[in-house]
Amino acid sequence: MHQYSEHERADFRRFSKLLTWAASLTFGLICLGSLVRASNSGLSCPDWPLCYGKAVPLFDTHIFLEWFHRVVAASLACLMITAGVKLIRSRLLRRLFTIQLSASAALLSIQIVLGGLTVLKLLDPATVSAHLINALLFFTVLVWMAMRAHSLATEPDTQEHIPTPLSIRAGFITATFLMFVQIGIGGTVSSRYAGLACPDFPTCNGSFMVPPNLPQALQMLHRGFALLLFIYTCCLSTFGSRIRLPSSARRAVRLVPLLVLAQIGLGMINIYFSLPIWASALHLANAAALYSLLLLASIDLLAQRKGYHHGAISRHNSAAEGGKRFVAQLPTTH
Amino acid sequence: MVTIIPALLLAANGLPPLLTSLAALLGTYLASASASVFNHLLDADLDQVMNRTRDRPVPSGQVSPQGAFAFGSALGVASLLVLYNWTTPLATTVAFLANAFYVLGYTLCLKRYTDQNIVIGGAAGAVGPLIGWAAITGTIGWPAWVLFGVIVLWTPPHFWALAIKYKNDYATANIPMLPVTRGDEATRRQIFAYTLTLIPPIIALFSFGAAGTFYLVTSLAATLYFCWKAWQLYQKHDNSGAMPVFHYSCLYLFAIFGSLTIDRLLGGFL
Repeated sequence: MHQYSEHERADFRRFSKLLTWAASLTFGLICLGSLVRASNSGLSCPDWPLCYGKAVPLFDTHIFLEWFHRVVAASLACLMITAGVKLIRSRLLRRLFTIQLSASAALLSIQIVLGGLTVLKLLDPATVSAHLINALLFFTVLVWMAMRAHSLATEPDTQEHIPTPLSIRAGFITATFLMFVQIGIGGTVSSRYAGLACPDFPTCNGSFMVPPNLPQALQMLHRGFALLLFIYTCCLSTFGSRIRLPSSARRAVRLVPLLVLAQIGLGMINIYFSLPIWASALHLANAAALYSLLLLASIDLLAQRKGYHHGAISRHNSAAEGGKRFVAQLPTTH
Repeated sequence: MVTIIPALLLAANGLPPLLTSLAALLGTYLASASASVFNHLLDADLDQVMNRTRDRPVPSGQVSPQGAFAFGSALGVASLLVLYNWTTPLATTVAFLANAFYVLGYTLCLKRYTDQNIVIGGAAGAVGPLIGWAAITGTIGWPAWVLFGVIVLWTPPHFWALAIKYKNDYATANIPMLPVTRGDEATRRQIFAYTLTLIPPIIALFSFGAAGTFYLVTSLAATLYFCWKAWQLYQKHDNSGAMPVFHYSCLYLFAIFGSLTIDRLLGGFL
């Protein structure tokens, strides 16, 4: 392992902070985008990038949401430009992060173009879906980069190093991928207005068979995938909770199945109450949270993979570590 | 299980259909069994450390994790099938949600991280009346919610009395039960407080017309006695009264739901 000096680590730390802010802002932007879509504000500004020909238009709720989404996106672009400048001025960062930062810059540029096309093509379904999927791709690269910078910034001694079996790592990566796909399917359900295509739940017009028309088929695909994800994440948590895991994977094991359950509940509310804005907005926000939890865990598990030996499974499992810390820090009782 | 029967009687306003009732009982039994198996699976490491639980099938190695997972899943699916086919979709949904909340919410998230674990998680065990009522009518009436509330409020004194006795066991396993996190004195006080909160809902069932005098007299007496025992536990400032409170709490639940059942069978005659 390369040893970095204190000065170099400080550089990484600053870079990592910048990227973490960018990643958090991206997450917020995805949630905001969800709200824009849920409240039907996507076309409230008929032009792009200005709104009614102005940088700051006269507001109503819809116009404000769409405008704010663009403003935050612009701020994110500024952050990324700052990161780019930092990169160019540092030989060390140039050597380590050029490819990733270039990739994320490209993805962000595509995202901005897609954002414009979404408006100019009047919410054309393919464009809207692509806007969401590209957002996730950008988010993924950004988070990966931020985590790399963070681990370079911390001293090797203080870092967690908990190797895990291949099956668990593969399990998490698969779960992350499945979640990505499901969000893509959900985005397509939304962009093609298939949210209410099936009047009933869990059947579609009384049957579980794949329906002949596209909106209903999309809806049933989304539901089927949700069931698959629920079972898969429950399995992952059941077997993942029995071994020692890095803290991000521990967190995922605890929270993901519950959030998947909540997500299914939100989906049902969307159907039964005909897409209330709060439920529809929360549905994607919760999905983004799920994806983030799994992504962070997967990246950590991959980073810490070296050195696992079979039979090294600790008796005190991953969740117990957290409980132990909780009890240990309580004031002593009689 | 016992908690389902009065809800069946109340919802049906007389004798409930036999098949539906049996299905509700069986379905709930299978659902709780499934939840229990998953709990054993997820808590195997804790159970190994605690004396009280180390001989359970999964921690002692008699049943493999994969076997337990398969068994738990089979029980869960069976419960859903029984309930869906012979009761209503709502009853099925409630049973599933309670099962999922117990496994994913309580066992996976709450149990190891807060001393309010059983207060919140208690909701999972309180759904009997909801399932019973939903099985008959397809909706959930207010008396079922009151009974749900009774069980939720009964859960903390029940488990904390047990936890007082097994405090060292829980501490060894790092489970944040109240005696471990805040001490015996605070636990005894809270047990007493929770028993007091049982009085209003018990009376409410009578005052709002869901049950008759026989129920009121019996249940109120049982509840006041529960409060009295909890008070004694609190006043003694030691733990000798903990297990008697626990044993009585088991009897208490039978008394409440039993008296409600008898009251309804008598048709409010008394």
